[in-house]
Amino acid sequence: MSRPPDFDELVDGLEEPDERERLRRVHELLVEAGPPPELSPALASATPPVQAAPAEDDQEFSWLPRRRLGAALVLVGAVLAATFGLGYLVGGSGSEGSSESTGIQISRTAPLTSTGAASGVVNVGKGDAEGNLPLILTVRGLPRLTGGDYYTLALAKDGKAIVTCGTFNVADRDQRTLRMSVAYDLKSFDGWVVTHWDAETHRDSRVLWTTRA
Amino acid sequence: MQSDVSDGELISRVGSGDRNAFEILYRRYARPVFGLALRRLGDRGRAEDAVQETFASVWRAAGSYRPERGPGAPWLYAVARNAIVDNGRVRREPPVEGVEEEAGDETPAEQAEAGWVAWRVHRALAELPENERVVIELAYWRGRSQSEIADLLGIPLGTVKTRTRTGLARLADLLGDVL
Repeated sequence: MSRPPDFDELVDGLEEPDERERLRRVHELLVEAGPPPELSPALASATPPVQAAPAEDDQEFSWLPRRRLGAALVLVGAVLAATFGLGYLVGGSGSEGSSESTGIQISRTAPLTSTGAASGVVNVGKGDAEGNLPLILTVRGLPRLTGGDYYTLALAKDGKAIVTCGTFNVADRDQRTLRMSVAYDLKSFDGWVVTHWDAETHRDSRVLWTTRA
Repeated sequence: MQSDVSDGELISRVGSGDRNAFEILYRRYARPVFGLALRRLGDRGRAEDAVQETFASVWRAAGSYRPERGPGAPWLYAVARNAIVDNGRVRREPPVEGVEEEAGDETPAEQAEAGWVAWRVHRALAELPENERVVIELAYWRGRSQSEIADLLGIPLGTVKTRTRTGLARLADLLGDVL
């Protein structure tokens, strides 16, 4: 984790001792808790499978056998993802994110480059009344990640990831199109990056980037 | 997110088979559950299994939740903790507390307390308005100064300070029972 911020800088000008102490305790809790981990694409994209009706009596619950749970995941997870229209809609290969193929009206496009063969493009749709911006991310040539690693699309400033837009994985070297949604003001950033989170070293490294949001 | 609906009310609705309530509950608690599982198990794959099992258990057990016995967050925490412990036992691996590297010399009780605090903090953060949450996350977990945040987000320094302080105060309200 990064060094914790200077509490006195955060509450500069706050004179009231009781309130200052209350906020200091929150500051300590934030430092103690550390950052919440990013969810993997699988967890972020769908609720867990549920098959039977919930228990209605007062008895203790019992666990689903693991093999049954896994089978249920395959069968019901896709249904729930479709039903609830969650943050990520994993598309098939070949889509370039055009308004025709994705159902959104694209307002800007940002190509992503790398030092190797991998590439991509971020298509940004028109925002809704609440300020939610639909994104269509297409990547090509990225290796499949294993061992808990995952990719993150982030808005960047000066080439550094600032806020996360979503996480994902790909089939090996294949083309993948994903739909995401963000509520950030794009004017606050100057580019996009795709990073690779290494679950073993707990480090991010840039794999794709662009200089314009 | 329907932040005006309490956790307890959502659990009760899940107990009646309301899948929409289940979805909202999942969106609220997936990251806190994952954080707790990762902290205890030290492995993303196993932690992901524990998240799946936790919410499968929530779905199955929600009918046993009784609002008069307490709010929803501790009930969910207990379900998650049991799922995580179960995850460790089924795989015949060391007790979960034994792999909590950051725990140092903490006793099991202290570890449980630390897990509960992180759970509550992460849950409370998710409750903040986006503009307050972003400045707090940049300050605490990206190591950015207030001036750097102002530059990054393209907003006045005074706005960053106001949002930070307002966010901290809102967190203090949300975390009142653990302060």
